[in-house]
Amino acid sequence: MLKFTIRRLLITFPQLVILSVLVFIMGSMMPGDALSGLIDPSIPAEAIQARREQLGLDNPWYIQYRDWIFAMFQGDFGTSIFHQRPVMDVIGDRLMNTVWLSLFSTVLIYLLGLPLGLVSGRYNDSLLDNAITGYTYLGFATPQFIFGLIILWIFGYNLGWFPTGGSVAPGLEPGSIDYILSKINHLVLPSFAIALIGLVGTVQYLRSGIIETKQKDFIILARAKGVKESAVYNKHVFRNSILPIAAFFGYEIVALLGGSIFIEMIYSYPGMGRLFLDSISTRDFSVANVLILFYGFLAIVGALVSDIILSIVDPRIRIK
Amino acid sequence: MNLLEIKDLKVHYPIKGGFFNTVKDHVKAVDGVSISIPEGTTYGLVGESGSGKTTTGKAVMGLNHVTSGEIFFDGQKLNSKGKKVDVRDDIQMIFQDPYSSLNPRKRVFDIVAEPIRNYHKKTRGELVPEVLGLLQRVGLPPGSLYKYPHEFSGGQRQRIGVARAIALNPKLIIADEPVSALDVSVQAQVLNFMQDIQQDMNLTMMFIAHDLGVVRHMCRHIGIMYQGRLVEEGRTEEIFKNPQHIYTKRLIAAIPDTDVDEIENNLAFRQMVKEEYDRNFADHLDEEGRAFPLQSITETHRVALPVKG
Amino acid sequence: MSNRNDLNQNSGAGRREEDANKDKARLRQQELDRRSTESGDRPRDGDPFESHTDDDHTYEKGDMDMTVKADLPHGASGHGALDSKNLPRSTPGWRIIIREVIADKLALFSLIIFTLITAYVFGLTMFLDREEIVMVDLFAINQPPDETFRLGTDYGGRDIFGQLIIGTRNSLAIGILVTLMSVGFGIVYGVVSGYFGGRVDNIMMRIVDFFMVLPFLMIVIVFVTISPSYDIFTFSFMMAAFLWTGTARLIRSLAIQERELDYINASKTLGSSHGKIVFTQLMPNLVGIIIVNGTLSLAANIGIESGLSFLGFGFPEDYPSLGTLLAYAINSQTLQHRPWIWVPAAIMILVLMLCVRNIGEAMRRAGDARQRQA
Repeated sequence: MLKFTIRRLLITFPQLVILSVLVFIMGSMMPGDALSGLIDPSIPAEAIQARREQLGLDNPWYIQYRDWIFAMFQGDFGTSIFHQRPVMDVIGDRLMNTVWLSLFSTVLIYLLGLPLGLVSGRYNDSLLDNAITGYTYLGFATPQFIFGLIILWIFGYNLGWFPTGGSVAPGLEPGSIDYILSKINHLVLPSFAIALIGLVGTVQYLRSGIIETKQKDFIILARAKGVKESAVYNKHVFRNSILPIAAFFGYEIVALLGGSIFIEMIYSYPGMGRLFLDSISTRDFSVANVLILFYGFLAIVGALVSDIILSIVDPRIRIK
Repeated sequence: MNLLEIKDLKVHYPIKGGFFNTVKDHVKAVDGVSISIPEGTTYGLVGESGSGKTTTGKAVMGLNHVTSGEIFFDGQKLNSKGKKVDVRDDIQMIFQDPYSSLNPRKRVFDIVAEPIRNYHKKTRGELVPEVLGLLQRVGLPPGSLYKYPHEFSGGQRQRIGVARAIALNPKLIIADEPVSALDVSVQAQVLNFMQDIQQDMNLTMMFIAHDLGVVRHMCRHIGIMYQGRLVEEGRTEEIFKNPQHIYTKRLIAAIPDTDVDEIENNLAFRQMVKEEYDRNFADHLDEEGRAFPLQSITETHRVALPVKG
Repeated sequence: MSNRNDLNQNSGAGRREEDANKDKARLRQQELDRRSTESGDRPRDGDPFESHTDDDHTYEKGDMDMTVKADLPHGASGHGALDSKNLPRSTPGWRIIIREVIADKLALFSLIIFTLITAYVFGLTMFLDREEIVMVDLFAINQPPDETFRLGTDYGGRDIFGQLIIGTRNSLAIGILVTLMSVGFGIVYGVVSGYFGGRVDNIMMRIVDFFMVLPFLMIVIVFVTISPSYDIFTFSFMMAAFLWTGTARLIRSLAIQERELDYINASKTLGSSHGKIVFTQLMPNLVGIIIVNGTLSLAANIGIESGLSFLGFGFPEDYPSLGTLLAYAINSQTLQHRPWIWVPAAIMILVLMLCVRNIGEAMRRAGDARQRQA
C-alpha cells in the first residue's frame, strides 16, 4: 500500500515539472513581462534596461525558469499588472468563493445522485427508473452552460426566487448571520446548476453497479440466509457498488473546478474561473498563468488522490 | 539430415517486484531444451500445460524472445542478433485455437492469400486460382472463398489455418496443439488429413500436444517435457514400449484403453504406476524440482535419470 | 466538462470491450440465421465459444471430396476458370450497424432530424450572404421576430435566423473537424501503444496521463488569445490537441486484448510487417468501436465548441457559432427580455447533441447482443 503510494507519487513529480515548464513557456509566449506592468513613461529607457538586468529578464530561459520556480517556492507568484498587486493576493480574494461553490456542488451531487442511482438500480426498468434514466440521458447531452442559463432565466429572472449574480449582497458585515445567509442564498442557483448536470455520471455508474452487483452470488446468498430486502440493498449491494464512485472523488472535484468557469461566468460569481476569464480579457497574463498552474496542480493531486483511493478499494488497480 | 536443431534453448521471463520494480527472479519457461528433427519426419512434443512446449514452438517461430541457446534451421542460425535470417516462408505455424487464429474481419480468400501476398507479387487474378487450389487441397469447397471465418465449424477453420500454413510451400510446420480445441469426433479426421498433407509435401513437423495418444498416431520421435525441461526423448516405439522416466510411465498409463475386457487390469496397472509415481517422483527431480540432464540409453533414446552413485 | 466526458469514456471502456466481443458473436449469429434461411446450405454451429457442436463429423473425407467436385464445374482441374464474382459473399459488419440504427425508432428519428438539419444548414448557407447577415443595421436593433426577421435581430440589428443557420453550420463543421482530428489521432496513438506494449506503451500512457490532468479549457483559451490569427483548421487543431486522450485510452485497451489473439501471431509468422498487421489486421476489428466512439465524441465536441464560443473564445462575432448567439444571453436584458436571440440556439445545440448521442447509443447497442432490437 505504502509502496504503491510512493511509486504513484514518483509519477506525480515529473508531471508537476512538465506542467510548470509548459506554463512557463506559455508565459514567455504571452505579450509583456513582469516589468511591463510597472512601466511608467517618465522612466528613461536606460533605467528600464538596468531594471531588466536586475530582474534577470535577459538571462537564458533555463535560468529564468529556475528563478521563477525558486520565487514560487518562496511564495512569490509575480505581480498582477491589472490589479497592481501580488498575484497571490488577487487569487486569494477569489479562492474561498470557488471552494465554497465546489463544496456545495459536491455535496449536492452526492446528496441527490446517490439516492437517485440507488432507486434507479434497485427498481430497474420500473417507471421511476425509466424517468431517472431518461433524465441522465438528457443530462449527458446538455452542456452545463446552457443548463446554467436556463436555470438562471427561470429561477433567477422569471420567478425571482434567487439572486442572479455575485456572491453576497452588498452592505452586509462579514461574519454576521445575514452575511452567511446571503452567501448561501447566492450559492443555491450556481451550485444546483452544476450539480444537476454533474450528478448524471454518478447516477449512471451507481445504477449499473447496483444492477451488476445484485445478480452476484453473494447477494443471492444473503437473501437465502434471510437477510431483509432493505438490509440486502443498504448493506451489501450499496456498499459494493459505491466503491468505484468513491474512488472517482478526486477526479470529480477537479472536473467541478474546471466546469465552474462557465457557471461563474453566467452567474457573475467572483470565483477563480471568473478571475481567469477577466484576466484573459484584461491581458493580465501573470494571473492567468498562475491560475493554469494552480488548476493543473489540483488536477494532478486529484488524480493522485483518486488513484490512491482506488488502490485501497480495489487491489487489482495497483500499478506494477 | 536434421532440418531443425535446437541447442540448449532457454526462455526465461523476469519476475519484477519490490520497490524499484527490479528483477527478483525468473520464470524458467524453457530451461535447456535440445531437439533435433530430421527432415520429413514429425516430432511430437508432449507435456502438461505450462511445461514450456508451446513456448519452445513459439521461440522457433520468433514469437518469443530467446534468453540463450541456438536454433538452427537447415544449417542457418535463426536467433542470431544483427542480421535476421528470413526463413519465415519456410517455417509456418498452425495455431491451437482455430477461433482466434483467423481474423474475424477477413474473408477466407484474404486469410489464405496473406502469406502469398507478403512474399510474392501477384495479381488478384493469379491469387484466386492459387487460393482455390489450396482450399481444395485441405478439403474445403470453392464456395468458401468469400466467406468469413465465423461461417465455419472448428474443424473447417483449422483446415483454413492449414491452407494458410502450406500456402508458401514451407519446409517446417510447427503445429501447436492443432486439434485440442476441436471436438473429439473431428480430431482424428483433422489429424489424418494433416498426416496426408505432411506425406504429400514431405513436410517436417513439430507437433505440440498434451495428448500422448494423438502424438503416437502422428510422430516418429517424441519428446516429453516437464517444467521447462525434457524428461525423456526417443523414437515413438521406445517411449511407448520402454518408458524409463516415472513421469513418462504415468502419462502412458493414463492413456484410456478402449478394450473393455482389460478394464480391471488397466485399473490395477494404473494404480501401481501411481503408487510408484508418488513414491519415487521426487527422486527423479533435482533439489530445485527440475528434471536432470538427459542421458542416452540407446542411440535414440534419452532419459533424464538421476546420476547414479 | 471535458474531464467528465473523459471519465465516462474510461469507465465505459470495459463495457465497450465486452460489447466488442458480443458484437462478433452477434454478427456470427446473424449471418448464420441469414444463411440458414436464404441458402440451402446446412446451418453451421452457433456461437463457437458456447456450443462446440462441430458438425464437421458428418463430413467424411470422401463426402467432402464429393462436395468439392459437385461444386466445381466440369473439368474440376480448371477451377481457376471459376468466376470468382459468383461465389457467395457475406454481409459486412457496418451493414448490421445501419440495420440496427434503423430498427431503433428513436435513433432513426434522430438520424432523420440530424440529416435534415445538416442538409438544410449546409444547403441554405450556400445561398445566404454571410456579409449581409452580420452587417450591423442600427435601425433594426433587438427586434422581436416578425415578417422581415423570422427570429428577430440582435443588438447590432443582425438577423438571428441567418446567424442561427450559419452558426449551426460552423458549429457542426468544427465539431466534425475536431472529431476527425482527435479520434483519428487517438486511434493511431492507442493502437500503436496497445499493439507494441511494454516500454513503448508505458511511456505513451504516461503522456496520456499528463494530457488528462491539463486544464484543457484554460489552455485553449490562452492559445486562442495569444495566437495572432487562426482559421477553422487551426482552431479545431487546438481543441483536438487536448481531446484525443479518451479515444487513445479506449483503443489501447482494445488493442491489448486483440493483440493477444492468435491471428495477430499468425500474421507475424506469415511475414506481414507491423504496419501491415496494425492497419489491415487489427484496425478492421475495431471499426465498430471506432464509429461509436467517434459519434459520441462528436456530440461532446459540439458542446465544447459552443462552450468556448459562449465564453468568447471561439470564432469572432462576424463568424457566428451557436455559442456566439448564446453568449448574448450573458447580458441580463437579453436573457430576460429577448429570448428570441438565445433560445433557438440553445434548442439547436440540445437537439444536435441529443440526436448525435441517440445515434451513437443505438450503434453501441448494436454491438451488444443483449440490447439488440432488430
